[in-house]
Amino acid sequence: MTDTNQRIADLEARVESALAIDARFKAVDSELAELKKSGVRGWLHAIAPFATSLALLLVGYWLNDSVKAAMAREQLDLDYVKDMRDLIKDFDASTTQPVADANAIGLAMYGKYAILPLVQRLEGGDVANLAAEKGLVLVGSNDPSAACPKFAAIIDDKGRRFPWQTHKTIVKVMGQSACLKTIPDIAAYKVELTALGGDAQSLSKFAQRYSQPEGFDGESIANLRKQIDTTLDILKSQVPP
Amino acid sequence: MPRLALGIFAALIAHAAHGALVNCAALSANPGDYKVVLDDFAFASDPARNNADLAALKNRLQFSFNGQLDALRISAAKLDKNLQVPMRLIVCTGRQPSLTGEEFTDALAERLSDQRVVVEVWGTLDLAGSAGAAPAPRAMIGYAIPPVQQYVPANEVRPIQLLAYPKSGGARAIDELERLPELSAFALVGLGTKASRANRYDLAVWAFSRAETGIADSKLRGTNADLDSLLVYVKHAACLTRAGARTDPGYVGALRLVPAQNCTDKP
Repeated sequence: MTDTNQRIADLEARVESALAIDARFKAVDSELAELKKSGVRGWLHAIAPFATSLALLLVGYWLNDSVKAAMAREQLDLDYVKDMRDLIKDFDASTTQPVADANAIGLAMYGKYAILPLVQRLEGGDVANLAAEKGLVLVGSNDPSAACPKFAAIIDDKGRRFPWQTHKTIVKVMGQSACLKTIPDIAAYKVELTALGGDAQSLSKFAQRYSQPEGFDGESIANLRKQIDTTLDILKSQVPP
Repeated sequence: MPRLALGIFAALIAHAAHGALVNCAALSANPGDYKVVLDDFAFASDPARNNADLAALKNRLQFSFNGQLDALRISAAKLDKNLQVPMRLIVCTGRQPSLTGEEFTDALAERLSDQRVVVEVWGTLDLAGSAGAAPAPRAMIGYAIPPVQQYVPANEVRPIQLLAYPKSGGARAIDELERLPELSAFALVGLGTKASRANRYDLAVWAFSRAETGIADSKLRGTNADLDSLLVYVKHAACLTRAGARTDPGYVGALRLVPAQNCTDKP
């Protein structure tokens, strides 16, 4: 009897324990269901009061970063201008070819920033002109991706900004700078020159693209074409098969 | 022998000649004109620098050269009223190439030729005299002809000519120093070379003909191998230019009437 009572008591204890566990599972299930119901909407609901502030914070951070970068870039440009100004003055005051070359190389160290002052000095006589060419070759060799499009823009220029001699020098520099992507520009230039023939009227009209059309004649055409042929030979030999 | 004397003279005054090829920005102006470039003549010594006659001579050179260019224009107009000689004098202050003209590399010559320079002249003025005699002015003058350096092989013609003045003695010495008679001839060689390349046949043939006369005159005052080869080049280039005019369908001038010549004899 006692043994039977004891076994019944054990069973009752186990049943109660199972019921308690079941109750806890139900509670967990219920909480999980609640959580599932809330989802994204719930989160949005929770952060809604702060959303505008958060957006403003992000935009402000982005703007601040961009402005800082732009200001740093401007500051760099300004520093370059200050540094380059002295070099340009030295360049213009050069009394021998070696000194002019050294100053041109110093300018070329500023990379793409040096292109415009060096191109401008292609129009400044003879000694400065040769030194500027050397500087441009250096810039083009160091950074062809930045320099070659600028060189192409010069030979494609229809704004009458450069004399034909500058075009010729730039074509030469393009060959020495491995400006492979500019081959179509140079080839198109050659086609235009070839189409001119010996007709004085069409030559005069063509020369209007240069800043000094007066000095452009049959000799200029021949020299320009010769330089273009040399440059195309150099560039085409570097095109991968 | 004349070459040896020239070399000794050059060596004697070379130490005093400061080679300084400063940039000549004036070259870029007047792009349609052919240019004669006059550099800043140097003095070989302090006594030369302080000599009033030499200073006056230096100042008169520019005036004299302008006069020679005017004379060329008039001469061309007399021959053919339509024949223009667009040639002007450019003065490059402070520019003093070394006496031998070693700065005139092929690259520089090409650049000068592209700027339509037909000749560049520089030099050193000095005083010289034997014992007891008053020192007399003399000069070593260099002429660079960029178009010749650009287009003619160096083994055919020397594009840089060095001449000592005066070549003659007596009263003509000063006149020679003031006029530098070879200047016109060398300028015309450069002009003819460029005009020929530009298919300006009449101008080229006229320039070569005048240059031929000028070089022949110069040889009478004292010749050297460089002048000889330059004369041969001029004759040959003139012949080729006439032949080019005859075969160019775009040319309608008088040179078409000139009988055909054999220009195959190389200088």
